[in-house]
Amino acid sequence: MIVAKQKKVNEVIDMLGDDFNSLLIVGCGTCVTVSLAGGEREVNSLAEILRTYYANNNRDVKIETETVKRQCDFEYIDQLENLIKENDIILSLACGIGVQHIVERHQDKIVLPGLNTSFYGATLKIGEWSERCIGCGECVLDQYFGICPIARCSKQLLNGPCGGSQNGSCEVDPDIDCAWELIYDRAVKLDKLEDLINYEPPKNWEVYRDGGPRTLIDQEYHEDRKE
Amino acid sequence: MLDIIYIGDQIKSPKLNTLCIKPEALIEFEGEIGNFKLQVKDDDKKLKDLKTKYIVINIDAVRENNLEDTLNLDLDLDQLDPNQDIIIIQDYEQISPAVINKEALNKAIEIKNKLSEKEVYFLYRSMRFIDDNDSLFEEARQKGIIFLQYEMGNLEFIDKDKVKYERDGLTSELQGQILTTPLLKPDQRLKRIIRLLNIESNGNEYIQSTNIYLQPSLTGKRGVYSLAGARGPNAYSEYEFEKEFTLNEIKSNLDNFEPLTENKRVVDDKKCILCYTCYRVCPHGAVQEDKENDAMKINELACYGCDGCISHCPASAISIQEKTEQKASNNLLKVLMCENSADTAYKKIDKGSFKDLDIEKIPCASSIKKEDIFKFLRKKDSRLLILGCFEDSCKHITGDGRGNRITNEIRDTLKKLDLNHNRVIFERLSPRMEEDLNGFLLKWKEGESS
Repeated sequence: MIVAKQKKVNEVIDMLGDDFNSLLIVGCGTCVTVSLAGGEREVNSLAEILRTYYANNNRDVKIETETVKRQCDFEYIDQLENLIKENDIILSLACGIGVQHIVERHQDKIVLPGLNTSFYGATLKIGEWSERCIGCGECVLDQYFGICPIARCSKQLLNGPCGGSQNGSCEVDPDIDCAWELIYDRAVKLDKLEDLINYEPPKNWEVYRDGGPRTLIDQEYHEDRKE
Repeated sequence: MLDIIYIGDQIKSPKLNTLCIKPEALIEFEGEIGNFKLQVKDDDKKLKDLKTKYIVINIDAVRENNLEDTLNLDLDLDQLDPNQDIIIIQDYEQISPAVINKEALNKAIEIKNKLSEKEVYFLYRSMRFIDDNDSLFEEARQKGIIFLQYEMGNLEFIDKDKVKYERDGLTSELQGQILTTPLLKPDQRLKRIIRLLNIESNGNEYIQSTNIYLQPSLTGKRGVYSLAGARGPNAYSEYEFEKEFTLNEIKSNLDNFEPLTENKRVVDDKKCILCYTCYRVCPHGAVQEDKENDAMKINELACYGCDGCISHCPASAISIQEKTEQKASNNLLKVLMCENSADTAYKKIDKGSFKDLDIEKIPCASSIKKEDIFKFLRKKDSRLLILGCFEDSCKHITGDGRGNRITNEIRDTLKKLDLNHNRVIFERLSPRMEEDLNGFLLKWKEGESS
């Protein structure tokens, strides 16, 4: 899922500025709800925090809240059409995709991000997530026994660890596991160490961001549309 | 329907309908006290569904020989060389629990009885005087066993039959057959059981938790008990007592399954996104997935009503059925008291001075919601005091910590908003601290922060 973190509340207040009277905070009910950053609970808490701030600073601001299932599909954004029109500023507690999707539908509105979108990750325990994928466009997990050197090695090395691997930790931060140590341990466990001896040529980065923003077209549905 | 399923070792339990399964046989688990449903794979690899009212986890800790090339407690005395002294080393690297201490003392006496001409040295860091360990210690000293206390760092293995021992600046070398006491480690299968049953543990190692509500063999989950090695090495000393307690408790409550709370906690299946936050937060393992409704559900009999799930649900999908709405008060001074500590203490004090405070009883400090607290803080000059429990005496095991964390997040937010963060304070109390509570409330009322 997409993991995000809420922006610091003072940054949100600075971002909102003084030139508005009404605010709509929109939550997103999928990834960022699971990563405890932008679900209904966070939307309601943030609304109360802002109301407290403005009330304590003698400012009269109307704040409304709504959470939709997903901000990355127009159908859900369209459910908010009236609410969006009625408010001066829209603060989206979705990932960057949700914020831009609202913008695409409401070109005349100021839409601001309430979250810092962090990465694609997995839950380790409550309140703790870890990056596992960068969406590189060409999965290599089959070659590395299910541990991604692109997402989990700080240097994205494909042919073994660097000299900074220390006792299973990465030199960038001892709290980061060395992906190559994990790959090696898995290879030993699966008795496939010799598979790692082969030289792996450089990765094709055209399918990643190096080819510019990406679009994915499922030909089957595309043909449907032509008809 | 069985009365008890033992996971691990069977215990004789007359008049009860019991069954014993191996830890690795458990495949799936759901349900609550009175109706636990287990899917078990038997020795023929066939799947079988079982139902039981209670579960007792009775998995022994694993003994690991401490150092290579040394003798162990289970040695046969005939293995010993009658011409050499004996050096017994206890507590090396890890302090031994009382049960090992006892075995080591017994072994030392046995050896001394057999090899009375030879010296028996007993090196230890700590004596655990539980059970009859003190009389064994006395007996061993009378028999001439030489006890030497050491600290880690003052004992060095020079050879496989030689150690260097230093104390108070004096160094001596001891030579003889070295025997080290074993290490007790959690059975690796226990981790999986803890995960499958979703019960609180010490870092997934042992079920033993230093919490007054979990004595003597209770786990955080209603109807699930743990004994012996599943509870940790120290539990062996109390094993007989704990076994008896467990069986008596089960017998006397065999069909007595009433909910512990007045109002049901319900999950709105339209709002629930199956993120499992409630499952992870619940200290009583009362939450499970309801596959029919595609939502989580809270088992009514397992729920202790701490409301941690309600305050933590990111989708605001959990609520209390038929909750009476708190009427809004205009009071600027509000106190939230945990019903298990501060509220109990409050019942014992003269309330004359506190009539003007808005005091609300809460089931647990973990039930506080940021949203509600900021709604209250909207009133200028309003102040809030949250009174939770001490760490080891939280009825909901992790509730005090969660309450403290939420409070800290709120204080942090207030700081970022340039508002006085001391408007919200969290303190810990015990139910017996009524005098402290009295003084504390008076001070807080006057506006002095502690």
